[in-house]
Amino acid sequence: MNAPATPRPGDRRPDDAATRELLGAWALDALDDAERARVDDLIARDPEAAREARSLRETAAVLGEAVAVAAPDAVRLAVLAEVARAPQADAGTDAGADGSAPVRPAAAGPAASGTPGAPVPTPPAPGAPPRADRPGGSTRPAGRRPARRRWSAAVAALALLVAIAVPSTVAWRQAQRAAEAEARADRITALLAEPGAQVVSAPVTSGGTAVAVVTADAALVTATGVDAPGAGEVYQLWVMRDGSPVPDATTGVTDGTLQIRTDAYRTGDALALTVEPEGGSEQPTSEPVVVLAPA
Amino acid sequence: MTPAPIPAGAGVTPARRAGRGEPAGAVRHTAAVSSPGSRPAARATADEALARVAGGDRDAFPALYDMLSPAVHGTALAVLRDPDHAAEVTQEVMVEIWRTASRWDARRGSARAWATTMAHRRAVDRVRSVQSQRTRDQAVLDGDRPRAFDVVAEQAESNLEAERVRHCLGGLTDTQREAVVLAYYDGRTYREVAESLEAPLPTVKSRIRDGLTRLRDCLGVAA
Repeated sequence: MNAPATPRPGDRRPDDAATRELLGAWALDALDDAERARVDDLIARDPEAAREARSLRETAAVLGEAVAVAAPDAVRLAVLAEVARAPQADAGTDAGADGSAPVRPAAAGPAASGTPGAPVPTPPAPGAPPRADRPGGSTRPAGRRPARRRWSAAVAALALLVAIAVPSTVAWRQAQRAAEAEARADRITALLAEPGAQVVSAPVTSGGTAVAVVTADAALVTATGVDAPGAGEVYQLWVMRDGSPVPDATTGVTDGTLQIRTDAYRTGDALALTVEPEGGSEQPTSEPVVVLAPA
Repeated sequence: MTPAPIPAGAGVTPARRAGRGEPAGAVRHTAAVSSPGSRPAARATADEALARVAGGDRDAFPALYDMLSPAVHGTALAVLRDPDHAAEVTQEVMVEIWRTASRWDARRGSARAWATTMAHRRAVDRVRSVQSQRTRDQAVLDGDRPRAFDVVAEQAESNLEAERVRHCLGGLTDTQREAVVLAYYDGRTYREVAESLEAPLPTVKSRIRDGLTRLRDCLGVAA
């Protein structure tokens, strides 16, 4: 069971035949740790066993592929945002006998995915939607440089948005909160996919951060870490056009988060949030807590 | 904080995500699994994309994510039977793929095998740790029937591989099929499989290996 640390190809052990019987269970992760170590050791010494192991692992992969289900959009958003910030590990680090030993993810640093309020630099609000780099887009041989710039910019926006849309991985475990985060993320990804989508963010004066995704004819404002309005009060969105506020929808706050969409937005407008009496106002009755002005 | 309970015998409970309204512009992330006849090409593409990501190419990652994440998520969901746990595992694994891409060795297996192996291992670790707290085994002994592949695949998006697996599982003996399905999709050790089928250990060991080998040959998986 306790193999020498450095098995050499060609070495034989008396129990090799018995170990080889375990290959099927090994390929399905159906062994305990000691047994798995025995098989890993055999694979390192015996090319025949390694070949069989590989083919059975590939077979198991087909079993996995056969039950493929698209992951929730919020997961995609969270992963892309984390990847935008997470460094890669060196190739030199040992990866285990089969190259697939699961390594616990290093804590993703201070900017761990989905940490609400994690400081993220305001993106330059580029015009490119992140969905532009779909398969096909990114494999286009000539378009590498533009694609890279586009994704880098989009990634900065995503990193910001994920903090807004996906409170933390803990939320996956709380059905209601997860469903809400998912719905928020869905709305954001949907709007981001529109041509010419831009992202702009600003701090909210009373605390928290607001992010707007805007297109030529719609805007989606999401804010997190915001105070609940007082009793009988709501947040109201204003479309700032030619310096004048046009009243728009109102909303409350759930879990420090709010989201409002408007189809009244047009390119060149700005957006503002104020606290208003329930039902909303025709003219703002208080100073904006945030103004979002897309470039 | 407390992980959502994993229904032990309740079959597949999570809501179908596939039936959700299609978010505009959310090109469904299943290109790699849904186009019939494109399997070898899709596989080569995933390998290529992973190679690029291994070289530090962040731009290649979104496409790689879209190619690999359905199998990763489906595997986790099959084993864990809980959408929240499965989402966590998917997130962990996909980030891990990015972080450790340079350790992937194409000679040791395809990108998708690397990804699903990682997903399966993570899911199994999780199910076993939850299991030890909850003695899920007891529920199993109390009459949880092993799930058939069709039950496991109920929420999967129909894809070519599902059809092939269904067909090839049909070529196994009943006992081989039961052992393989229990071990992989339920994340049981072969000892647990032996207990739950009330069969001797060596027998189960062989059933799994022989069954998987037969499956490999039927599926035409290259060694």
